[in-house]
Amino acid sequence: MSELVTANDGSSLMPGAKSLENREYNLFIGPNHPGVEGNFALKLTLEGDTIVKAKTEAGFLHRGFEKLMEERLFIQNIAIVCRICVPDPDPNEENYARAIEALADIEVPRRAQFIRVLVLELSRLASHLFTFGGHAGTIGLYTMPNWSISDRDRILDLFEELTGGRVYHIYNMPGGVRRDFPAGFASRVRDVLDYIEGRLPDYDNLFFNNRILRKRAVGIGVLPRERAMEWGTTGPNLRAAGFAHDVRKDDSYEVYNELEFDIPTLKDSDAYSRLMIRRKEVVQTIGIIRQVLDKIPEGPVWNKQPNPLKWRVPAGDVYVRSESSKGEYAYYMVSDGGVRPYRVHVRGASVTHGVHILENLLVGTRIEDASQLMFSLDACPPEVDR
Amino acid sequence: MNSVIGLVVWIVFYPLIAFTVGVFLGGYGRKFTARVQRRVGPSWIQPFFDVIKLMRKRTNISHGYMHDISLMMLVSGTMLSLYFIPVPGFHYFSQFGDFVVIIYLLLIPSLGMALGVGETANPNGSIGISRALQMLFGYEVPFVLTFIGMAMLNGTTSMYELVQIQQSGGIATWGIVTHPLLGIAALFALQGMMNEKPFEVIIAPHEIATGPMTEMGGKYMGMMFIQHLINLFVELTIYANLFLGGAKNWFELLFKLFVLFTLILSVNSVFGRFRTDDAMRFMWKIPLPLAAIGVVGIMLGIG
Repeated sequence: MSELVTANDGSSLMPGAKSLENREYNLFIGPNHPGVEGNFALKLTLEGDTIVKAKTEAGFLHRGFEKLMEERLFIQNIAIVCRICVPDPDPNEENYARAIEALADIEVPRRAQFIRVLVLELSRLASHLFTFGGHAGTIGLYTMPNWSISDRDRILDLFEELTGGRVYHIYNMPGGVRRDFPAGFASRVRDVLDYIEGRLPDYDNLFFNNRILRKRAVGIGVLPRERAMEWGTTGPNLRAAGFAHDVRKDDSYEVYNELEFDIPTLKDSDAYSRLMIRRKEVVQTIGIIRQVLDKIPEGPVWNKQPNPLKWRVPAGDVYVRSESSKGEYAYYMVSDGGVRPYRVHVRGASVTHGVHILENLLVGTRIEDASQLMFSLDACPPEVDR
Repeated sequence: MNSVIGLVVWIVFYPLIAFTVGVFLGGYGRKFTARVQRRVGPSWIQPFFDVIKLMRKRTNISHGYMHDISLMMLVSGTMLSLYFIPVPGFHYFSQFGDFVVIIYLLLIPSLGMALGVGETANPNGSIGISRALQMLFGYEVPFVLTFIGMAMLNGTTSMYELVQIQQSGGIATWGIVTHPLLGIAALFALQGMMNEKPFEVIIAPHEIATGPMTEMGGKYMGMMFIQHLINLFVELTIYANLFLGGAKNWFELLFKLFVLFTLILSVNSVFGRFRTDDAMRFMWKIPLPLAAIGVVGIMLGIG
């Protein structure tokens, strides 16, 4: 930093005075800032409108999920894991249940596996609709959040009917799911799918084909293709960089290998591509749910397990993973043969996307685009500090 | 004597009338936007309740005298400009100040806000103000140019006389009909003046946490609301007087204001906001050349 006033020999005449070249200032965004995704914060250093340094802070929602799980019975943790990602809770439940099933060698009835896929995909659909609204809000197009989030409510109605909960479902149990479809549920799911499919052209006209969105999102926050793998990107953000990687295909679980669906990819890897990849996935998800409804067999939905208060899961460790709307989720579970897990580690997509990648991509971006960039990566703040 | 009493009554009640119309316009705006967004929306007079609520709040934080004075500049600048805008039944002050005076007075609120928000030292507010002053150059230039065109055409800078001339020949003599280029250019500028999307870069909640309003609460925010509501009336009436033939009675004026506002709200509801530089670029690329072509056309005697 050069001194403000210097003598002919270069020595400072005003030692300690700040330089005129020091044009940087700090801006704190969050967690009550409208442009922040959840309880999260960005500490930005700006020069003019351009971000020169970015630091994320996720400690506003620390609930210590992983440590909590070590202190609770296996069955009690089902009510905890869903809270790790609010908009898309079901991959956590399913992963957790599948990890216990792998350790205890429990077989899941086929009907339950189909129902799990249905719930996972409905959750993905609801999460994507939420993301569309969030992203549109960052550019001031508030009609879209009102549309997509009210449409999402129809999915939440279905969840309420099936599981009793709208946001947190606590529905996937080791050995299956808690309850079967209520009467007429499948036809109501089809109605909601038809409705959402019919709304997509409206979304396109209002939002996805909106010239201002293109002007603002194209070329923003480009995640270089060669960096995408290196930085641990997964899910839609990776597919927007051109990699056709999807755990549902690559390491299939439940009954995904019996269902037909495509893995859409895009090449540009910018904020617009990351949004559009989710738009394309909505179509695939609707197709998957319809197939589930067509193919779902009759039968039980739960293999009864021992008394959960005394249930000792055999000692061992297991790593299970799944594809959530945010990216790849994985649970590493260690059991010492007791009634509680010895250790549960959650590998979520949001630490990678919402911290490391976001901090890197924010540098050089303008303040106008910071919020949009954050929403385009679609991180889940509670999952960052778990 | 009667005319003096009438004048005093107008001076006292004109701001109240403008505020009341502003409340209904603001309420209509919220209702309209809510319906586009498939919501029910608040009451038609919700802005009135908002102002009452905010003005009843006790303000514990002050950022100094300049902060307080700035809000007086904000409201008084808008109210002062109001007196120079002719409306049915009242055009007394129009003889003392023409369009140039109105434009000058309308700058006072922006400058007042800049002073006050600068005093709060909140970076979001400062960014918002710098955006507001940038945008001023964006929309003010084409808007002034459209007025220059109208003044050249009609040989007067008086808004009252412009209204009289337009009313003499019916719709055929309205500015928007005789010089659509100027009318369209001014419409773009009006969208920016009213800080509606796609030019809503000053408030931009997701970017700068509502900008100038970040440090405003309670009565300060209430004053900003009052200014905003009166400003709705002022800006829409200026456009109606320049390009829609003014109005012979209040019913006609209100009808024109609501139609014009509906047009602005429609655009506002289905567009996001530009980046600041894109907003400026748009203003200088579309409305400014349109206005310039319109003025050149008038100079060459075309139209």
